[in-house]
Amino acid sequence: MKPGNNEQKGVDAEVVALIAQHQSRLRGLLRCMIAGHADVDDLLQEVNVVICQKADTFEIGTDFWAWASQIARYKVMERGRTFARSRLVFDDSFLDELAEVATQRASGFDEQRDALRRCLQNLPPAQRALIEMRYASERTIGSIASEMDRPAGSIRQTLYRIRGLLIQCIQNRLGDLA
Amino acid sequence: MKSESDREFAKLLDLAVNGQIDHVGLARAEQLMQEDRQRMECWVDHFRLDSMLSDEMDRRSIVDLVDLVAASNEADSPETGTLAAWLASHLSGRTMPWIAATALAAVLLLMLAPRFWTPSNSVVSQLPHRTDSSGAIAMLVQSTADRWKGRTQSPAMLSPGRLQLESGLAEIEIYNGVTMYLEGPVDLDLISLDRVHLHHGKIRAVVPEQALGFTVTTESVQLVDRGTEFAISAEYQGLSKVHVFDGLVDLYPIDQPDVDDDKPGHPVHQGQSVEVGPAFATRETELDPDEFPSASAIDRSVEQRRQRWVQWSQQFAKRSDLVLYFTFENPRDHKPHRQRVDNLASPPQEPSQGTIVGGESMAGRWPGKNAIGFYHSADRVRVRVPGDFPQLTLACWARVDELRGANQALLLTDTFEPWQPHWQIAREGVLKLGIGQPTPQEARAMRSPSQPLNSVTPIGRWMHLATVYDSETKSVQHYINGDHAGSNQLPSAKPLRIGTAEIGNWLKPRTEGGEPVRNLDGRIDEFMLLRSALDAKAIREMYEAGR
Repeated sequence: MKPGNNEQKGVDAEVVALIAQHQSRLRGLLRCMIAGHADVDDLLQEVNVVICQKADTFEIGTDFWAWASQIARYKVMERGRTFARSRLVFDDSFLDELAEVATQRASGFDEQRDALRRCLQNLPPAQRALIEMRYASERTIGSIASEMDRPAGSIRQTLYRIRGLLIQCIQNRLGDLA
Repeated sequence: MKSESDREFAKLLDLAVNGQIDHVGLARAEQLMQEDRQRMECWVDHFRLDSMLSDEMDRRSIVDLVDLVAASNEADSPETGTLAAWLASHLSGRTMPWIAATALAAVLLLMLAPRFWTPSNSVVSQLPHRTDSSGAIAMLVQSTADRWKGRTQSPAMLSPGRLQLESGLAEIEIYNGVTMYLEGPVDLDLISLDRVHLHHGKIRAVVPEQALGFTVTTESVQLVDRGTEFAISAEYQGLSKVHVFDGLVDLYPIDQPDVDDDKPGHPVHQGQSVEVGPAFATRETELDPDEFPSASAIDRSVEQRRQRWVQWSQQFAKRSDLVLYFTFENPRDHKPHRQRVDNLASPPQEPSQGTIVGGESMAGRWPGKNAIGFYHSADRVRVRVPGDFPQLTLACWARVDELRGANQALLLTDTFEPWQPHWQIAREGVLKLGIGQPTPQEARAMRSPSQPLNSVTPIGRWMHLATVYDSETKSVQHYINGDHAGSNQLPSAKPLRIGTAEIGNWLKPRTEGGEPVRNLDGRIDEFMLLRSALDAKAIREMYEAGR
């Protein structure tokens, strides 16, 4: 049997693994740029394809996230040009700035994810339950609201506040580590 | 204080995250972000968190799966060379059904799919799961010195099919309650719950009442049990021999179809022996019951193994490089909560006894060998190990009953400070040595995984695990059941230090929370820590002495 030596990976497989590892943050990046568009998943797949096609230009060991997020940026801008100006797209120059901020803030993603896990554990049960309804069961706000017999606006506000708390918690945890 | 425009921005952001913003809102959001860069950060943070939550809450730990794929040494295969191209073509053609809820899951499915096609590269086989018992009709209860044709390890669960024991003894329990004793060489087909075909060799079967009608065929005879204990052998040239220890069996010619209770065969009663020739020529004979495998023969053989290990163990305890050595024998007046366990390393390190907390005393590798179970979240053995270790060998005999998707402790230092080792069965089902580092990134680079455990040995069986750290060569070697099962080069290496630590659990989650408890879902009946780096030969010897 072959030993599990970490140094013996095929380059392409490594890129594929990197793509997979970066799905969550790529999606976050795309979503913040094309806010309001429902077709983020399609766009994400297109980005994945381009990453695969250009995989041979990526140097293993260099910053994959910086490289991949650049591709995602181009893809969003490319799409933006096919839309009429009135569609849901930010300005090109603004997009660039936004993408820069988003790329930079997702650079410590793995740590952020670890921190998020701990923060989720520490959420009060009611908040945790609400987050689970929204994200684990993929329920719409409307359906959560009708089940809990509360106005949708109040559910939405609560979720927004919990997300804010989680972001704060992640930042605190990462700050503590530093 | 929040300004009016902050509140307006929050509302727009919330609409956007929920996919409900319109182009007027979006333009306004852009304007608000341009006014204040903090809002832009807030915007990207909310979207990123939203994506993280979607992935995180999906229950399937997809990211861990990815880690697993990435860590797989099999990524070197030629198949994966074309993987990216394959992925690209399928993604762009969108011909695949998107059966998974998230895009990430879909991508993963695509990535993993090509590997399903090549048996040796199956990623699925690397995923944690219990011993695959689907379709099994019997289990190997006990065996000794057993060698099986076409297998490097003893089988655990047995599905219908050929079973060839080349040498040694084995006790098999069929799920209908029949116990079969085998002594190699024996060659048989497990056909179904109530039917076995014996090609060659000897078996003894104990058939309980609920399994009446259990049938063994050979080239020359069909034996139908009527509630008994019997032995049957298949020898050369179609000669079969039958001895009945207890009860009654009926013999039928091999070509007689549909034998059942209505058609009496040739009865063989308790104490009788019969030889059957090729044309169903039967003749009374005298057989020595001791010629057949039996429970007592297995028990004797197992006891001999235990004795051999006891002698080896006494010698081993004298090694000067031994720091910790627990065999968990003599569980004298085991108190329910607290008990000292003797460190057999000689001379013992100053205060290095272990304290068993919880941890029930249980059956070990052999009858008469004691083990400590760590099934409850409080179970642990506390140890304190002073000093620095440029080289370290950790080894134990453990029975892990389940890979449950959480880390399971073998030896975990209470803290995870730089150069403290965490030796555990990682949630992805591999033996792993982690080494504490100043930053999480550095610690990640120090993780050393082995091959997946269940690719080497069935989960739920006793196995020997060993990991060797050597700061001189900056390497970590893993061994499972005496075989080399992983090699990792480290970016840097220094002497390890342990301090206070636990076998079978981790203290930290109790104080900090937020992590699944890491108690070992299983038992340990021998544990050792040496201040030297044992080589492959020494690990092999250790395994051979204790198997």
